[in-house]
Amino acid sequence: MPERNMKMADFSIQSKEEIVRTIEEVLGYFWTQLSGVIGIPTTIFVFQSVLRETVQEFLYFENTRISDSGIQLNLTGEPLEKIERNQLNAGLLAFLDNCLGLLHDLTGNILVSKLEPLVNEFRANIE
Amino acid sequence: MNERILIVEDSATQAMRAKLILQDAGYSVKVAPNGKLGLEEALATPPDLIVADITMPVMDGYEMTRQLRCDPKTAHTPIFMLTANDQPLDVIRGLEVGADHFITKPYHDDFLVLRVKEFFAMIEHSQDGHRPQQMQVDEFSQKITLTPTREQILQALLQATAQIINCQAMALFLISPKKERLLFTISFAPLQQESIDQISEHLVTVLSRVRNEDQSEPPTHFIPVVVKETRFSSIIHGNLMSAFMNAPLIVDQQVIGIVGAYNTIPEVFDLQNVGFLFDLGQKAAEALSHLELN
Repeated sequence: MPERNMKMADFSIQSKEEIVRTIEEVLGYFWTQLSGVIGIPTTIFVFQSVLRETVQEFLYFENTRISDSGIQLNLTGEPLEKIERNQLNAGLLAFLDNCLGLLHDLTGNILVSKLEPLVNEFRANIE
Repeated sequence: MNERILIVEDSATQAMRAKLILQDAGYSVKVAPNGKLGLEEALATPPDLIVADITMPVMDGYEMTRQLRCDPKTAHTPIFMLTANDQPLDVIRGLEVGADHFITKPYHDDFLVLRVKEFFAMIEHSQDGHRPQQMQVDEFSQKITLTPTREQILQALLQATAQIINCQAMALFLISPKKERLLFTISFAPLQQESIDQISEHLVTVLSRVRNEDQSEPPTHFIPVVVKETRFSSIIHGNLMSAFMNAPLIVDQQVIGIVGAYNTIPEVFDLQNVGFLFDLGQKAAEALSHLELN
């Protein structure tokens, strides 16, 4: 497995914009790792499924776009300001957890073990 | 019995062997050494059956099959393809160009004759005396009509894949255009009912989740196939879900099914296996979307 090349920032002193930027980097890492193994069409499908599931509870994901090139949360400016910090954190964690849940259904721990450490690190920083 | 069979095979030794086997069984046999000459012969005098190798000089078996399907004279001529048993992509490509049946190489003499005899027997027993389009399979008092050759192709596809990823069982859960849910399993020894139930339940859950369905619906039709292999002598014991991989079959952003691989040995699959299964799933999805289910 290639070494992860991401350094998790200290979330406690970050703004919401910075958190969104960091989660997009985390999702970018997910995207790269997954598409290299399961292919881009299936990766797109996985994230679309996760998005459909997550947006039911966290409506602010409704502007998220998933394409061949990756995931854009499109969370900036006034819409982002309106989201409570704890709601933002909960939604981002739910997105990651739903992603790991679906991957677990598909391949047990094979893919999850590759991504879970980063999610745990993100969780520890955000909670 | 005097059905005419055309063998298209570039290896003179293998062609002669197949010719003798089939002649001894009472068939009238001709041989062509490559796809181009096979095509010309078949168009000039359409045979009752073509047995074709895949890899051949001048024109391969895929291209020959594709061109035969485009000509009204041979559009419905049955074609058996000879494939190596570890090449699932051969099966997918054969399915796409319109092959009817697969025989894995190396094959036993009796096996080739048996397959050919079975095929002609189906034609004889069909109502109109032509190539059978569908047969009925009864499982658990439910009926599904499935093109018999397509069923055999599914078996060949899963069997070839199973050899590569070294699993004990595979399953294919497909949703037909009429929303019927077909669960096709293949294993190298009989499965315990508990294992079948477990796989079925898991696939239903995963399929519902990836299709974003509220209600989980069980399979409406079940076709279990056991392939005898010397390395598995009796029933498969243990938890088949100890190691699993499930790849969704996606066509036009719609999930039409899932292909899964299972093993009682934990952590037996790795990232390479996952990559193979998902790649296969992507390639198979388009081909299987044309599967004739009802």
